[in-house]
Amino acid sequence: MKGKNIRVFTYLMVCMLVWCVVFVPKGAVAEKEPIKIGVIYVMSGAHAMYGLNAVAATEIAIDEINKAGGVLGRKLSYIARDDKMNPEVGLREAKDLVLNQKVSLLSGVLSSGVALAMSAYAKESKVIFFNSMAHTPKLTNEEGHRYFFRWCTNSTTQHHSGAKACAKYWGDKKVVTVAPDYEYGKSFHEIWWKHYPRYVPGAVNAGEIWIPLGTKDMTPYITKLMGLNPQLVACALFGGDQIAFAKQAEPFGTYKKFHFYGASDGDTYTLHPIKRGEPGTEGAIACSRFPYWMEITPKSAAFTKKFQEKTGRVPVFDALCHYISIHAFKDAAEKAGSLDTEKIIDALEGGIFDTALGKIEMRACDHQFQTPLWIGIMGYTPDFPYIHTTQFEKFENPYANYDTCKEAMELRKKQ
Amino acid sequence: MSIEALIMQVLSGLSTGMMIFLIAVGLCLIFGTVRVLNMAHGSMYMLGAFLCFWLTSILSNIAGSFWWTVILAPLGVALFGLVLEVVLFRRLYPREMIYQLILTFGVILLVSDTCKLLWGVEFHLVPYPRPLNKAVTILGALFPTYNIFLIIIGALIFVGLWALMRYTRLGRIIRAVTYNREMVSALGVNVPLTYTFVFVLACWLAGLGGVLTAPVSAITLGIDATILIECFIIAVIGGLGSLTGAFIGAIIFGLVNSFGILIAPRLAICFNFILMAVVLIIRPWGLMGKPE
Repeated sequence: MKGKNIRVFTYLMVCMLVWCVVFVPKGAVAEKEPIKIGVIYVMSGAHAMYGLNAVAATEIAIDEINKAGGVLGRKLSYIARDDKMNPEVGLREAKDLVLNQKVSLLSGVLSSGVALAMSAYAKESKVIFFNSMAHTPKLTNEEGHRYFFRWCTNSTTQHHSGAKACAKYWGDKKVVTVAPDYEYGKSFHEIWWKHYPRYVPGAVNAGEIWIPLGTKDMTPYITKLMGLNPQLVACALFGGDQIAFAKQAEPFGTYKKFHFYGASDGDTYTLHPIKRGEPGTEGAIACSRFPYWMEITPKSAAFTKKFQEKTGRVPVFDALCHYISIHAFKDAAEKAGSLDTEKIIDALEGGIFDTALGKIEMRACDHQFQTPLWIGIMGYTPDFPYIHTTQFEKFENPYANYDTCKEAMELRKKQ
Repeated sequence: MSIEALIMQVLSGLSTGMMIFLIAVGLCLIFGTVRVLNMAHGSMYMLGAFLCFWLTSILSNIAGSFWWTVILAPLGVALFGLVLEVVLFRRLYPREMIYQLILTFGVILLVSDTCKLLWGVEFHLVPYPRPLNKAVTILGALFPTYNIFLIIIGALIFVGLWALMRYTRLGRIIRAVTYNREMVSALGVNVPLTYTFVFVLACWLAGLGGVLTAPVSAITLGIDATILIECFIIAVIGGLGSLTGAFIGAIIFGLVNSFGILIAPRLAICFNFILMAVVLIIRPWGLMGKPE
C-alpha cells in the first residue's frame, strides 16, 4: 500500500510538471519580468559626473514610467556600467549587457569613440542603441544605421548655429579657433570653417590652437593667442579645460581685447562653478543646450525640480537627453504595441515626441532627434550666483541647424 | 615674430615648468632616497588640491584664507603621507618593485574614491588669491602676477631643497642613505626615520603643488593621472632621483611645450615625449642622473 501511494504521488508530480511546461503560457512568467535598459557611461575619473547624472536621469524616468504602469504592462529596470571613456571597455560592457543580461536597449555614452564602437556592435547584434551625449556627426551620417538613434544635439548644429550667431552679431573677419585636440575639436574646426565664411565672406583663419584634454596650465596657449591678435576667438573647449582656460585667460585681458565665442560655455557643466566676481567669459556668445531656468516646458520644469531634489546639482543637458530617450522608448513601444525591436524602430522613425524641450521629431532618414539649442551672451542675473547665458532675445532662438537628410545620406553612401 | 611674443612664450614655459616641478621633485626625492617608484604621488597632489578647495571654502570669511590654506593643506597631505609610510610603505621597502607598484596603485584608488565620496564629482574652483589676482605689464603685454609668483616659488623651493641637501646634517644623512644604506645604518643613523622624513617631505611638496596650482585650474577627479605622466617625463629627462635634474627637466619640459605650441601646435604634445625617448636612448640615466 505504501509503495502504491509513492507511485501515485510520483505520477501526480510528473503530470503537474508536464502540465506546467506544456500548458502554462510562456509569456505569463516572462511578462512579469522587467524590461532591462543597459546604461553605459563614464562613471569614474574626471568625467564621472556625466555618468552619475545619466544614472540619476534614468532613475527619474524609470520611476515615472513604472508609477504610471510601466511599458505594455511591464516594469522598466536598468543596469549601469562604466565605460571609462575607453571604446574597448564600452564594447565589452555592451556585449555583456546584451548577451548575458539580455537588455532590450543600450543607452548612454559621452565619448564619440565609445559610441562609434558600440554603434557598430548594436548594428551587428540588432539591438537598439540610444545615444544621449556623443556629438560626432559621423554617428548619424557616415556610420548611421537602423539601430542607432541620437537624442542630443550634434556638433553640426552646435557649431553651425554658433558660427551663424557670431556672424550676425559681430561679423568679425580675423578668427582664431581654440579646440580640444581630439575628434570633437576636429569636427568643430571643420564645421566652423565650412559655415562661418558663408555668413562672413572674406573671413580668414588667423590661427589654430589645439589643446590636449586635461591640460592644467593654459598659459603657453594663451600667450600664443594674444600674439595672434584676432578679432574673434572661437573656442570649443568644455568642462574642466574651459574652466581653466577661462580663469587663466582673463588676467591677460583676453575677453576685453577680443570677441569670444564659447561653444560650451552656456552649458551648466562648464562654467557654473565660476561665481560672480571671479574671472569668467563675461560678454562671450555661448551655446546653451538646456537653459533650465527658462522653464522651456512644464515637463522641463518638473525634470529640473526632480533632478535637483535627487542629486543636489543643477540639471544638465545630457541627463535631460537621457531622460527624454527613455520616455521616448516607452512611447514608441506603446505606439508599436509590441516590444519587438523592429516594430519599435518603425515607431521611432519619424515620430514626434512630446518632450521636456517641446514636441520634437526623431528624423527617419538619419535617426537624429531635432533637438534645439539656445544662444545667448554670457553674463550675470540676480537669479543666479554663477555666470550663465543671458539676452536670448538678441538671437534667433532656438537654433536647429542639422545637416539635411540629403547631406547625411550622401555622406553615408560614401562610406 | 616679435621679441615681446617670444618673451611671453618663455615666461609661460617657465610657469608651466615650475608648476610641474613642485610635484615632480617629490617623486624624484622618494625614488632617489627610498627607491620606491611612488605611482600614488599624483594622488597626494590631487588631495592637496581638494584640501585647498575645502579649506578655502570653510575659511572664506577669514582674510587671506588662501594663504592659511597654503600652510594647512600641505601639512594635511604630509600627515596622510606619514600614516601611509608608517602603516604601509615601510613594510614594502625590502620587497621587489612589483609589490610597491601594486600597493601604490591601491593607494591611487583609495585616494580617488575618498575624494569622490567627500567632495563629489563636480568641478571645484579656488579663486586667485589677493594680491596676486592682477596682471603686470611686461613689454606692453599683460602677464598674470600669479604665474610670476609660481615661477619664483618654484625656484625658491629648488634653492631651499638644494641648500637642505648640501649644507645641513639632515641633508648629508639623506645623501649618505641614498649612496649606502647599510654603511650609514652601521654608523648609528636611524635609516627608517630618514626614509619616513623623505617620504613625508615629498608628500608635503606634492600637497603644496596641489594648493599652488589650484587657483589656475579646475579641481576634479582624474587630475592625479595627467600630472603623473608629466612628472615622469621630467624625471626621465632630468634623471630619476636627482633634485637638480628635476629642476632642469622641468624647465626644459616647460620651454619645449611652450615653443612647441608656438611653432607646431598639432605636434606640441609629442615634442616632450620625443625628447624623453632621445634622452632614454642616449643617456638612460637622465641629464643629471648617475648610471647605476
